[in-house]
Amino acid sequence: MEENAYNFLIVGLPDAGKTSFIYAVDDLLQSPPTTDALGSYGLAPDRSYLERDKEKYRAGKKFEHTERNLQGAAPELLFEHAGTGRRGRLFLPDVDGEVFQDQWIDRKWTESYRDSLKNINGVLVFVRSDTPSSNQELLGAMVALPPNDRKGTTFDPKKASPQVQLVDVLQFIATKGEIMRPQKVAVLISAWDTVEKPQNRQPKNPAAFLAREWPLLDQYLRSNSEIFTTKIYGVSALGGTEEELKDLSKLPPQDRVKIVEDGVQSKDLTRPLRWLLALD
Amino acid sequence: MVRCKLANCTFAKDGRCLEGRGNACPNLVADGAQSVHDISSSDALEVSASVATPYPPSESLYSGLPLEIAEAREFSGRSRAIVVALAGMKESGKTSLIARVHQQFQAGPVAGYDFAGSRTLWQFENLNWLATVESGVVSPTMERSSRQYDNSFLHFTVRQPVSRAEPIDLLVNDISGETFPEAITTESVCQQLLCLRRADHLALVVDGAAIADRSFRHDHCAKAKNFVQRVLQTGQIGKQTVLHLIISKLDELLKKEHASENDEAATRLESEFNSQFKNRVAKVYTWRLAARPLDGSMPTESTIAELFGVWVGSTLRYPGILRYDSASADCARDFCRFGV
Repeated sequence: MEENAYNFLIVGLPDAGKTSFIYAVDDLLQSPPTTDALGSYGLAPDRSYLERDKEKYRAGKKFEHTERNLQGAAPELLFEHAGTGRRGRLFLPDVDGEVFQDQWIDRKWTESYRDSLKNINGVLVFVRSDTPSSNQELLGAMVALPPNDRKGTTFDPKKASPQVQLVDVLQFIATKGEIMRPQKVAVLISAWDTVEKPQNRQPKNPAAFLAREWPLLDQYLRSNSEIFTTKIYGVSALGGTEEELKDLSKLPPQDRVKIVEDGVQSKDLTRPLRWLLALD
Repeated sequence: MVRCKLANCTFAKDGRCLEGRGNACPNLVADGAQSVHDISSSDALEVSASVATPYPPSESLYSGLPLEIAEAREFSGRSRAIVVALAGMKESGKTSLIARVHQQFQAGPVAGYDFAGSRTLWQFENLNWLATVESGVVSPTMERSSRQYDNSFLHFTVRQPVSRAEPIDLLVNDISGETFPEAITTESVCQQLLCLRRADHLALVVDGAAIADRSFRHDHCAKAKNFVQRVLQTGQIGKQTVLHLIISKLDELLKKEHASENDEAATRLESEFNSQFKNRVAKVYTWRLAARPLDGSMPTESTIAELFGVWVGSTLRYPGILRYDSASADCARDFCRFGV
């Protein structure tokens, strides 16, 4: 059987759902929900990162965000695809979101990160569905509030609009990284369970959601099709909010997850990986 | 006492991190630890571990600040790039206008153009900061454009969402309000506005609030015309330039008190612009808009989008740009054609 190594780049600001997704995919590979889904043909020699907070993930509990100093070796998953007979080693480096934020703030990146971009086989971009993509402007009625003596703080780039930060991080990759073109980019909108709540009026189609809620990112990706080929997914790797997970935790993690793409809903979180690997 | 180990950082004095990372900056050390420059001294081996830890080699990326002319050449050389010069008195609303375009792209396409990139996103966010809730202000304000950026550009790349549409780079030169009257007074100051010579569009922004105030009205209107007169005289603009008169702060202009008088004054200025300059430039456009109204109304986004569409969609420079005498053949579409 063919057996290659595939390196994916995972991009997202802090708390965008990157780690939950990696944990969920790792568990799903052991119990593929469909015959099309990727399965596992074994365990990688070093699973220290994958096991670090797995107990909390499986119990539906909140876990700490990725610490940049504890990252170590990239999480490695051994996958096989029944349909094509392909097998491989998938490397999903869970880069701390603050690393990307630092690139935006400091306007520099490490040479090792830059060099790693030469070998990537796909990009997973994470955005959250339940946080605003832009800062709130003082407009309309908000301007008419009674004045007070409060003075504004000096510009804090860390608090700049998230979609602006993320677009600039992608621009760094596009302009300074020697990536293969066009590079496949799967956009994963995390916490998708919150979008599907009946009282939520946001678009239920992930592509329409991105266009409405993360417009700058959406425009940037669409208008740079020579550089990026994009697919958009809605993902719930945990299955619900912290409160909802108290009840949902009676189910095994692979039954709580959900992914939506073009109106198709399933539990196969490996769909974006299959697309990046050209297995669809 | 905490201080920064970078020699030129003033964190210890004023709490401002050179790298903008605040208290979380890894360069902060307890007082007594040596600075980066001290490491090369003879007792370097005794420097505390926190200072001696080497950082992984890194590479600088573009700054996000306005582009210098040399940096802008990357865009003017690669494709059709449109240059817009924004000029006007202090606080006339030039920066608010261009910052508004950035905000509009954050909500969706503008004038049928998709956002395709920008090298100056950091600066756009900086400009908008004091108009956001996150900054902590109650009333929005706008960072004033600095003289240091008189010959530099804010940048957008846009693209129409149709097949085979090419990306278009827009370079916006925001001339500071301090320089504006000096350029009228002194020809040599005006000639130092290098980007004007390359401008496809010159947008004169006249403060609507000033027009609404009899003490300022006549001076501001006269200065707007004088500036155009000056740059026509120096040859910095001409038949290849599209001229825009933009009356800003529409909310202030049309305040109930004296609304008709103010409207009349604005109309007169528009009419004078047309009659005085229409035969000396490619075309004259007049606009009235509010980029950041303070009366509780919303910005005139459709007018701003329309203006943006005219900027991006029209240029008299292509084809058939007049070449500057000293330009070499391989400088096609570059600033050096215009002696810049």
